[in-house]
Amino acid sequence: MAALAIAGKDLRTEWRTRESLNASVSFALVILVLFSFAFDLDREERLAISGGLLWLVYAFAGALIVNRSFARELPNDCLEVLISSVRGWALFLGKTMACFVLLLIVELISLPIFGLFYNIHWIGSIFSLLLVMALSTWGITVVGAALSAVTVNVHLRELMLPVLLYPLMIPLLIGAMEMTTGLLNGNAVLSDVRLLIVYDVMFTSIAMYLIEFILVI
Amino acid sequence: MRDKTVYTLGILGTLLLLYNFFQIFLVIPIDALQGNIFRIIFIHVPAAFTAFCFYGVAVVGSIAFLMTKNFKWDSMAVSAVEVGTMFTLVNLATGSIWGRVEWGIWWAWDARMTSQLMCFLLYLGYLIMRPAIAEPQQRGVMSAVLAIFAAADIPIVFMAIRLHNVRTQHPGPVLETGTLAPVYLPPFFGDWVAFMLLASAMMLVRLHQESSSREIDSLRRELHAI
Amino acid sequence: MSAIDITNLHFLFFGYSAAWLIMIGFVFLLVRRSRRIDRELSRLKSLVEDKEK
Repeated sequence: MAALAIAGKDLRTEWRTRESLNASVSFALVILVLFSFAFDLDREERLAISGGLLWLVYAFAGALIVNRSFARELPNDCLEVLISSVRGWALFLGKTMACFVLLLIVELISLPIFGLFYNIHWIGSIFSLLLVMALSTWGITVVGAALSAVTVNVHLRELMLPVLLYPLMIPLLIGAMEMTTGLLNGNAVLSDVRLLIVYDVMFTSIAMYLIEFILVI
Repeated sequence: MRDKTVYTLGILGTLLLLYNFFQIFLVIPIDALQGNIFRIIFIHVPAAFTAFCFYGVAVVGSIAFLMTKNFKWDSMAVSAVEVGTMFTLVNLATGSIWGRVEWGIWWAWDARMTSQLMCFLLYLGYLIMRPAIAEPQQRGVMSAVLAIFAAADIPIVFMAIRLHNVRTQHPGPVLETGTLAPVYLPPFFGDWVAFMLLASAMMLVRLHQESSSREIDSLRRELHAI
Repeated sequence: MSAIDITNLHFLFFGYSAAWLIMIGFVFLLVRRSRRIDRELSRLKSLVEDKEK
């Protein structure tokens, strides 16, 4: 399937240089360290902000990854070649899947380090955490990849993409943050899974439909 | 013809607004609990309703532009977003002042105001992105896509914030729980109609500006060709 | 009138003023843009006419 081929291509390209991955992981670590300096918290306060902090880090790292998604095709007119050879939705889905895998890797690397720095136990609720991470990461990458396609030829792309992306991601982040905080505090609460699923389904379908208009200009 | 329409809408809107202000300040009784600050609701909520109506118009324009590629629809979308964003700002400002009196703080992160702030941020991004794209066709398509995304996000924003009103230590505004007493309804809806009239006048002016801009572009191309 | 009532009125005034200032500010921006566009349009039209002659 074309989408899988595109995803495979992106992941193979990324694996050769690992530039995006390295940059995102380093950025995530730096943010985690910075936050530990910014706030002097006791255990309860740390648990209270745990979900919020974690998803802020993931959102910032996600913006870095999706920014590269369509921009990497600009040199040598690769984007034109891709648009003419595969269906728009297949190209979009492939790029989204590649971003999803990359962001998930960044998240899985950052999570133990977060647990270490902030002394938070995450292993107990790992499966529920993985579910929340998977759903939320898909939402971030779907909207991010769509906006990456929108802003690929826009002046000041690196600045424009976060400005457009973060407000759109807010409901997703609210749900993810709440559930993650709950899970890290030991409550097995997955109350907002429905919100995440609605968000994912809605934006995936809208983006897959609109991507044809975005790419064929 | 267009000028006449703009002036008529503007004058009608202003007169209706003045009549309503007379009602609000001099005729209807004030709320016993909140006092005079309650009168701010007659601007605060109609501004929000007006903004949402115009965001709806923007979505219609955006979808129509994607279907037809006719720039009139793109002009309609950007004009509607600008006017809608302005009224959202009015809503946020009046809500903040109301909150300062009610709860003693300028911003309370309650469900409604937070949702309105998200709408403002979404459409502010739209307005920021537009000048960054020089080519009109591309600008129209990207703006339309963004407007559709923003409109799709708004109900989810409301749902998420309502589900998790994370700052639960703050009370919600009066409208969250109560309904307006019947005596307040006529100036309330009157203000909404007045705002819609004024907003329509502003949008017509903006539409004309967009078509003039397109004329400027074509004249520039003609000059370049000569 | 009690102190609370007076405070209420002050903030009511600020609220209505803020709303009006925002709306008038927007109208001002519209008028300024209109003037700029009209100036540019007449300048370009006269340039085109000159070039055609």
